[in-house]
Amino acid sequence: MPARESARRSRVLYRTFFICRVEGKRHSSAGFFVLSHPGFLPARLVVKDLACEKGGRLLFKGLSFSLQGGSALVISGPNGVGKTSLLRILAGLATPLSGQIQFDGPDPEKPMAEKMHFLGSRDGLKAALTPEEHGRYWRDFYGEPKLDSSANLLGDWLTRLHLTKQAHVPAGVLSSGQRRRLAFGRLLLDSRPVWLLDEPMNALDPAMRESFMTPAINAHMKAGGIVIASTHIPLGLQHSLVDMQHLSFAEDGSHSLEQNLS
Amino acid sequence: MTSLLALIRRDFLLARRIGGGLELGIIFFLSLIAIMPFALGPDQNTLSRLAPAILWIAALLATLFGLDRLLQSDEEDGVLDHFLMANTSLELIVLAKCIAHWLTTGLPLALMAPLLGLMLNLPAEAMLPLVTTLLVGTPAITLIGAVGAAVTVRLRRGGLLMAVLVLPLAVPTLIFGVGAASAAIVGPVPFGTPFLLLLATSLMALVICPIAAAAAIRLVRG
Repeated sequence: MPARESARRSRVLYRTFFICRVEGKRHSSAGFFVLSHPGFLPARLVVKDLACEKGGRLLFKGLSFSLQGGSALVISGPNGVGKTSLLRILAGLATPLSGQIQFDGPDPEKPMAEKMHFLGSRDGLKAALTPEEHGRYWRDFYGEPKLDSSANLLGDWLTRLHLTKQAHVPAGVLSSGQRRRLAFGRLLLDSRPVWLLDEPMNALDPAMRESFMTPAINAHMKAGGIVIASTHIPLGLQHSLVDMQHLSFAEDGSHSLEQNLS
Repeated sequence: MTSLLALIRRDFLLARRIGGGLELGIIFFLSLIAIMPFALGPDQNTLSRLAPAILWIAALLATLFGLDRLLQSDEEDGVLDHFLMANTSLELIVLAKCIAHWLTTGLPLALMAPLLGLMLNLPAEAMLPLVTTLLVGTPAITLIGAVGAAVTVRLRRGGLLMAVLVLPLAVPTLIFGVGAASAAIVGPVPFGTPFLLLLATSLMALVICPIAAAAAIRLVRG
C-alpha cells in the first residue's frame, strides 16, 4: 500500500527531524523547529454547508470553506456563536445537523479523526502526573517507541516547551500558561496534518505567544499542515478568516430551528 | 499494543499516586468483612458456612466502589476526546483501562481474601479455591462495571446509578463464584462445574463488555 507507506515514512521523518535538532542543526531563524520537515503530503480540507444545532437551538448554518495544506484559518466571532462547536464537529467529536466535511489527502481509508489533533479548553492533563510522564505516555500512546529510544526525544521536547525546570513537577501545580504549553506539546508527539486549536493563545503571556505558539503553528504550516484556530488573540501569522457572526443564529433565540432552516 | 501498555502504565501510575483507589478499596473490603460477625453473630459454624458468600459480596462491592470514575475522570479533563480521536480502537482502550483497574483493585482483593477469610473462620482447604474464584471472577465485575461507567460517563453523580445498572448483570458471576468457592467446603457439587461456568462468564465479559462500553461512550458522546 504505497499511500500508507509514504505516510509512515513522513511520520518517521517527522520524528527524525526532532532528532536532528538534538544534534544542533538549527537552520531556522524562527528558532523553534527546523524547517527540514519533509512535510505532509498535499491535502485539502473541504467543508460544505455545515449547520450546527445545540440544545434545540440553531447555532449556525451555511458554513463552507476549503483549506489547502500549509494554510491556516482563524474562526472569529463573539462568545456563544459556535466556534468551539465547529471545532468539535470538525474533530468528529460532535455531529453536525447537516453538511459535509471532506479530507482529500493520503490514507483515504483511515478515519478522519486520526488525521486531526484537537486542543480544547479541557487540556487533557492529569494533575498527579509530571510533564515528563505526560510526554512519555503520549509518545508511547501515539507512536513508535523504537524510533524514539535512539534519541533524547523527551528531553528535547521539554526544552521546546520551556518546561525543563518543571519536568518533575506534577501538572496540578503548574501555572495555567505552563499547563497550556504542556497540553500543546501533545500535538508535537504525533504527526497529524490537521490541527484544531480552541483558543491556543489563552493563558500564554505575550512573550510566549510570540516565541512559542506562533513559531510552532508556523512550523506546522510550513510542513504542509492545516491549522484551524478559534481565537480572539492574533496568531501573528498569515491566515484566512471566517467571521461566524454573519452565519450565526445564536442572537435571536426566539426563532425555532425549523424557521431558521427554511 | 504500545498504546495499550502506555495507557495501562499511566492508569497504574495514577492509581498509585492519587491513592484512594488501591488502599481505600482494600480497607473498604476489610471493613465490610469486619462488620459481618457483628451482624451475623459469633457462631463459628454459621460464619464458616457463609464466608465464601460474604467475601464474594464484599469483593463485588469493593470492585464497584470507585469504578464510576474509570471513564469519568478522563471525560472531565478531556482525555476521552483524545481516546475518541486516537489511532487505537476505543474498544481496546476500554479493555486496557479495565486491565489497569483490575490490577489495582481486583488482584489485590483476591490476594487479600485468605487473610480476611481467617476472620470469618474460613476453612484452610477453602482458601485456595476462594482465591482462584476471585482471581477468575473479579475481572468480569470490572468489565461489566465498565459498561455501567460508560453509560454514566456524563453524569456527575453517576456512582449509585452505575451500581444499580451493574449489580443485576453481575449476578451470574456471583452465583458461580460463590458456588465454586462453597463447593470446595460443603459440596455437593464438585468445584469444577461452577468454576468452569464462572470462567465462561468472565470470558464472555472479556469479549462483550469492551465493545458494549465503547458503543455506550460513542452513544453518550454522540
